[in-house]
Amino acid sequence: MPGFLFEGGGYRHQEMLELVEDLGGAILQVRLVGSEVTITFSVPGEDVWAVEELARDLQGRLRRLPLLGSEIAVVSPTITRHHLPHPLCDVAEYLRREGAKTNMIGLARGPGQRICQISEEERRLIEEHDAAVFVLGNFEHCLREHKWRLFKDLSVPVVVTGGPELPSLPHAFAYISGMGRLPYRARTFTEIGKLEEVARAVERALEERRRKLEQDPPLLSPLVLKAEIERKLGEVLRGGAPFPVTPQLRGVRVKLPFSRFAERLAELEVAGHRLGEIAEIRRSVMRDYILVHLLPLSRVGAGPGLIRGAVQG
Amino acid sequence: MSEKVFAESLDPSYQHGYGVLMAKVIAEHALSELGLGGAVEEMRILVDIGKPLFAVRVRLGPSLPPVRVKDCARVQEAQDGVHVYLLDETHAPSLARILRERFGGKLEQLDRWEVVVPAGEARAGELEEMVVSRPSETLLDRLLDAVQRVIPVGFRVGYSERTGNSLLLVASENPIREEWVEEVKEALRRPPSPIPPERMEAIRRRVEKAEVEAKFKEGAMPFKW
Repeated sequence: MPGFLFEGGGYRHQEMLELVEDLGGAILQVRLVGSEVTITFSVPGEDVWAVEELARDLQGRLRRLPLLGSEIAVVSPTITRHHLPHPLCDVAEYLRREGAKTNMIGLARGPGQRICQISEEERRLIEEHDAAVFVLGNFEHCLREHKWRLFKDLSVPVVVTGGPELPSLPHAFAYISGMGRLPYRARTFTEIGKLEEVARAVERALEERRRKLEQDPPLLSPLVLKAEIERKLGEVLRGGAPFPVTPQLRGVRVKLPFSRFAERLAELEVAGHRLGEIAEIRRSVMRDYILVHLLPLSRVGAGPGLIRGAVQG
Repeated sequence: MSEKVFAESLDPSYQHGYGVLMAKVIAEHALSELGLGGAVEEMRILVDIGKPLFAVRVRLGPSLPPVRVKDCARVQEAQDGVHVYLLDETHAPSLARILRERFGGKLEQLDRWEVVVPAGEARAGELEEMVVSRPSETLLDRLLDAVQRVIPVGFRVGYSERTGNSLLLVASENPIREEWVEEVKEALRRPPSPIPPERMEAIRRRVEKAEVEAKFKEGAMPFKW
């Protein structure tokens, strides 16, 4: 389902919400500020014309969000001023504008050549995302000979950005040049074009993942699951993180403490099943959040639901 | 402004590579951000990324004189004492500190800019010559900050040497060998090798001419400010 962003007046915006619901789409976020409204939603591809027509009628602006429903890790070798803020924030912000939820991650021991390394915990944290973007440096020798060690074992697709022109990098899904260590923000057309290249590479990577997932899809869409969780746990979620249920390609991240809410989440009834039966619920490496990964249809009903991590404490 | 930053590779096979040229761009930004453009006479960056080795040599210009009270405040003798009237607020913290240290609670502050040193404590001429700050001391801190911004973050093994008005920093992630330092010093004795202008132009950011949208062109709006 393609994602969209509607920006327009608050007046009659209820019509847009109703249309999306009628079409079987999913509403991710509604922000009503003053008299302006911003709605993030997705609708089935064949019904996009109806949404476009209504947006025209309401004199609002409709923008496609190709990365909607994904969570991307934007990784830098460190969090020192050498790597932050310019290129990393630019990449993260651009991906956010394209609809993705991004998390910026600075590695503890990422810099250098011989000494660069990634820990097991960092690896697991990055693998919780749908894709990762590594923003690396300017030296060709470092990129070719050493830096690939940071992402070679990751099971998620990795888009790498760096300074020099290179055709490709080992173990990377794509390599984008001209976005290495920069002392300034991306402002010119050329620089913003590079960010666009990064976003398109991430889109391709997600598309490939989606195709793989579609071979054995889950019982329901993560966007539907998100709406269900928000409807049933709305009271608890209110007042917490700004995006309390973050959709991913395989499921959702619920920003609630695992120890207190995992059992309750597993007992939640979704689409006629206990959530624990159709999804794997486990503790996230990020804080104490809960990761809900929907099981593929071939595994649903294979046995009692898995609540991994509950025993580990 | 004449060129002050020179970057070159010690490895002949990687002359004018992207990383070396970007090191020059990063150094220029660091110097301008920290307001060191005037104080630094020359900065040379030498890179051998295969070893890996990164060396920065900074040559300072003539040292800056200390700032005295007369440079940042007006001092006037009156019946109740000596009035010190602050003219340049950037020196306010240092001036307040030295006056407080010397006269303690005897000072009387009239408003934000004016203090009175009681009569008999000091003469106006003596007050005028008091040193408020020494920019040459803070300069070194800012300079080291600039150099640290240029050197890649993973290069934590360092060798430094200060001679006269120049500072040399060699950094690597491996133990630094004596012959590396010698190699750097040997390269520094030679004049910096020029970078072909077309290579540098290819690296520098270009601001493209944007097409102004019709609705923003002059005369397009129904009204003018």
